[in-house]
Amino acid sequence: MGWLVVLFDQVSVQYGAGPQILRDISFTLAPGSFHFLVGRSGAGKSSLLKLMYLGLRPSSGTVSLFGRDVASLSRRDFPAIRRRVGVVFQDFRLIPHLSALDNVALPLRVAGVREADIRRHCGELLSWVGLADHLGALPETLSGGQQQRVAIARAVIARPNLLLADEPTGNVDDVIGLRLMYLFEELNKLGTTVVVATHNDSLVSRFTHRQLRLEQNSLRVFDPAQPGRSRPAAAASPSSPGPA
Amino acid sequence: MLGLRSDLPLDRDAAARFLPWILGFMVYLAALAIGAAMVVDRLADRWQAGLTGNLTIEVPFDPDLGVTEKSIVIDRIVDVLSATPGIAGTTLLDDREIARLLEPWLGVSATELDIPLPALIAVTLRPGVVIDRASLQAGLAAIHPGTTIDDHGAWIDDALAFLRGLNLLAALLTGLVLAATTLTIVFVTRTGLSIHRGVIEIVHLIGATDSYVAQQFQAQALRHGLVGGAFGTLLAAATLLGIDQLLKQSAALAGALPAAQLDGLDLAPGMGLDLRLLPWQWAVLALLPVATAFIAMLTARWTVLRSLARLV
Repeated sequence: MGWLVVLFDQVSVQYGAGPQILRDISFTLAPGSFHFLVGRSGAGKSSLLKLMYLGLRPSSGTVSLFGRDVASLSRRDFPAIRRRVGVVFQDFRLIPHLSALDNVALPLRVAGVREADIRRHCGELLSWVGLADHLGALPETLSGGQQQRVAIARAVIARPNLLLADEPTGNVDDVIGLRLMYLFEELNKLGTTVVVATHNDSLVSRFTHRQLRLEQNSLRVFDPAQPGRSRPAAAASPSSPGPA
Repeated sequence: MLGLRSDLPLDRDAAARFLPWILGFMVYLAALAIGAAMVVDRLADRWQAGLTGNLTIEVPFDPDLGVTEKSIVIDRIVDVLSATPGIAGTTLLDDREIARLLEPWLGVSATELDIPLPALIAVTLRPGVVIDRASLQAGLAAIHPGTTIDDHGAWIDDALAFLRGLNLLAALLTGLVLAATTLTIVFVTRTGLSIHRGVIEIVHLIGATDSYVAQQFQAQALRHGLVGGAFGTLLAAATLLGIDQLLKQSAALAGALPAAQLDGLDLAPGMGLDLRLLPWQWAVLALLPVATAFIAMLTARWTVLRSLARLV
C-alpha cells in the first residue's frame, strides 16, 4: 500500500454558526498503525471519527481516505470506501429488529457474501466475543456490554482496512475490555489500521500505542515510547502493538 | 427478491400493512375497466360483422294498392336484386316478422293497426363485395318510386361511436387507477424511508449502496403487488362472471327461455350483450397481478433512489 490510510490537512469542523469543534487538524495514519484518540468529553473525538467514516464533511481543509480526497468523491463512491472502514459507534447503533447474528452479518450481506459463509463467519466471531448463546437474540434483550460486543463484531467481521472504535470498552468490565483490545490488536497485526477513541486513561496506559490527543480543538501526537515528547500531529507510522 | 429476510422492518409500518388491500382495490377497478373494454370490443366486432353484410330494401305501398299489384312490384324488385352482382340472397319479411321489428315502437298489435306498412326485403351480400348502391337505388326507384336501401351505416356509425366512447372511458379509468396506484406506492415508500431513516443511515455507514436499500423496498412492493393484484383480479373475474350470469337470467326471464338455451347465443338478438371473455382475454386479466407487482416494484425503486440521491 503506497498511500496513507488517512490524511488530514488543516481540517476544521464547525456546525452551522456554532463554535469550531475541530480547528486546523493535520495528521496522517499509515497502513497498519494503531492509535488511541484521547481527549476529554466534548473535545471533538466523535467528530474526528465521523470525518474518517464519511459521516461528516469538513468545513475546511482536506480529508483523504485510502489516497482519495473525500471532496472529490461522489455519493456513488461512498459505499466502496465505507466497506473498507469498520466502525464501533459509541451508542452501538445496532438494528433493533435484527438478531445479534444478523446485525453482525450486515457488512457481509451488503458486500454480497454468500449466505453460507456469512452464517459460519458470524457464528465463529460471536462465539469468540462470548456471545455463542445469543446468536438469535434481539439487541433489546442483551445487556449493554453484550450489545457493545455485537457492535464490535459487526465492525470487524469484514476485516476492514481501517477500524474506528468510539469508546469500545465503555460498557464492559476490565476483563472483557482487555479481551476486546486484544481482538483489535489481532486485527492490527493482520494489517488493519486501528483508531480507538477513549477517555479511559487506565486502559490507554496499559498499551504503548501512539496517542492522538485532542486538546482545545487541536490535535497533538503523544508517543509513550518517548515520554515527555508531545508534538503537533504529523505523519504517524506503524507502532508496535502489545500491552505495556 | 421475494425472500422474507429484510434489514428494514417494512412490514410493520402501518401504511405498508394496508398496501395489499389498496392495491387489490385498484386492480379490481382496473380489471373491471379492462374487462369491460374487451367485452365492448367484441360487441363492436359482432355488430359490425353482423350488419355490414346486410341491406334492407324498404318498399312503401299506397294503402289502396291491391295485393296482386304489390306482388308484381316485389317480384320485379327481387328479380333486379337477384341479378345484381354481389348479392347472395334475398328474403321477403312476412307480416309476423315486420310486427316483431315494430313491436318496440308500436306494441304487440302493430299489424292490426290501420296504418300502411312497407314491404321489407332483407338482402344478404357476398363477403367482401362492394355493390354500386347508387345504381341499384336508381334501378329500384324506377320499378317503384319511393323504394329505399338501408345499409344500416348511420346506425353502425352511431353504435360504434358509442362503443368507442365506452372504451375511452375504460382507458381513462385504467389510467386513473394506474396513477393512483403509483402515487400510493410513492407515498408508502416515502413514509417507509422516513420511518426507517435511522436504520438506513446505519446500513449506509456500513457500506450499503442506495440500490441495496432500494432492493428492500422493491421486494416489499413486489410482494404486495402480487398479493393485492391476485386478490383484485380474482374478485373482478368473479364480478364479471356474476354480471354475465345475471344478464342471462334476466334475458331468460324476459324471453321465457331457460337460461341454459342461451349459452352460446346473444342474449338479445342483434344486440349481443354477452359479457363472457375469450380465453386470451382471461389471460390478459391474469397478467394483471404480475403487471401490478412489476409497476409497484419499479415505482418503489425509483422513489427510493430518487429520495436517497437528495440526501447528500
